[in-house]
Amino acid sequence: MLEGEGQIIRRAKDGEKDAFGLLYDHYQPQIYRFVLLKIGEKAEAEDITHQVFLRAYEKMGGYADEGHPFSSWLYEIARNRVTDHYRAAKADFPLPDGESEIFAVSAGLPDMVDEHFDMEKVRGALLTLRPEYQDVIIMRFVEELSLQEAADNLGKSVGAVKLLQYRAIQALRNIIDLS
Amino acid sequence: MNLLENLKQFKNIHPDSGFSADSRRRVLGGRIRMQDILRTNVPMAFATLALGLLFVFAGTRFFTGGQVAGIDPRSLRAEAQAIDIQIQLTDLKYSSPDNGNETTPANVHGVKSSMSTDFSGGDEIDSALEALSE
Repeated sequence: MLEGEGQIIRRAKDGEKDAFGLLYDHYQPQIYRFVLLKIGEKAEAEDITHQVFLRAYEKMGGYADEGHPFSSWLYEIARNRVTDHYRAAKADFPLPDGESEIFAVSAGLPDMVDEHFDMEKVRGALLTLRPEYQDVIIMRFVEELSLQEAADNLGKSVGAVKLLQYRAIQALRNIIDLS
Repeated sequence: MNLLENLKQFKNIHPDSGFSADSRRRVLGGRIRMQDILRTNVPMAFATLALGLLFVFAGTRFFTGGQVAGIDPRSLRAEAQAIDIQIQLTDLKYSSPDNGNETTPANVHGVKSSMSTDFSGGDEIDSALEALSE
């Protein structure tokens, strides 16, 4: 969460561009990762991420703080955009062939081939999971959000998130083991 | 393979800096938000409309000396007094449920079936109405 986020949100709601810029800078990488790991294609992920923030900016005046973190609103827009993307493309979650472009822009990843190979397997398996499992794995194990934060973002109880993350990890392990 | 460690490594993925800068610029400057349009233009439209109505009203008062042509109260009053109000009670028929005979106002205490009157004949109308109500 951004420091002084409540005040920044109020300013952004009043139309202050700089305030929305702060929200953009803080949440854009997180939303981009979320979209990229669910889509698997860099260009599409960039386009959808842009649309998410464009939508958020346009609707900022109507944003109502209902006790959920601001990020939950952005995640909700992102989830809807990803769904629209798959619906429009009628895609069956195709995996990109060969070397992933996801890591082409990432910094600090280990150069070891084995580890890179493992990450590719994990990424590919993640793409085949149910959207609900993808969401909880990204929030809990990639973004390392707390159970409460993940629950707020997913609109579920903490208990439900615990169960969901257990099932999601089991499903991910099964896919990796089979591949 | 340590699955959770691998997942954690995905946090090192960052969007391309060129994309981020371009997207940020387009989001913040590319489109005009509907709320901004409403916030600035609707009050302006109302203010312009109110000002326009004020000018129309003031102009009308100025050119007519406070009285709108055609609705001068004095001429209206004179016109009203000159009207010869005539009330025609014609073809007034009443059906008796008992014998099926038709009864006209003429049969009721001698009230005329056709009556021409002005306001001075108000007593005559009152007596006719009383007779009818009995």
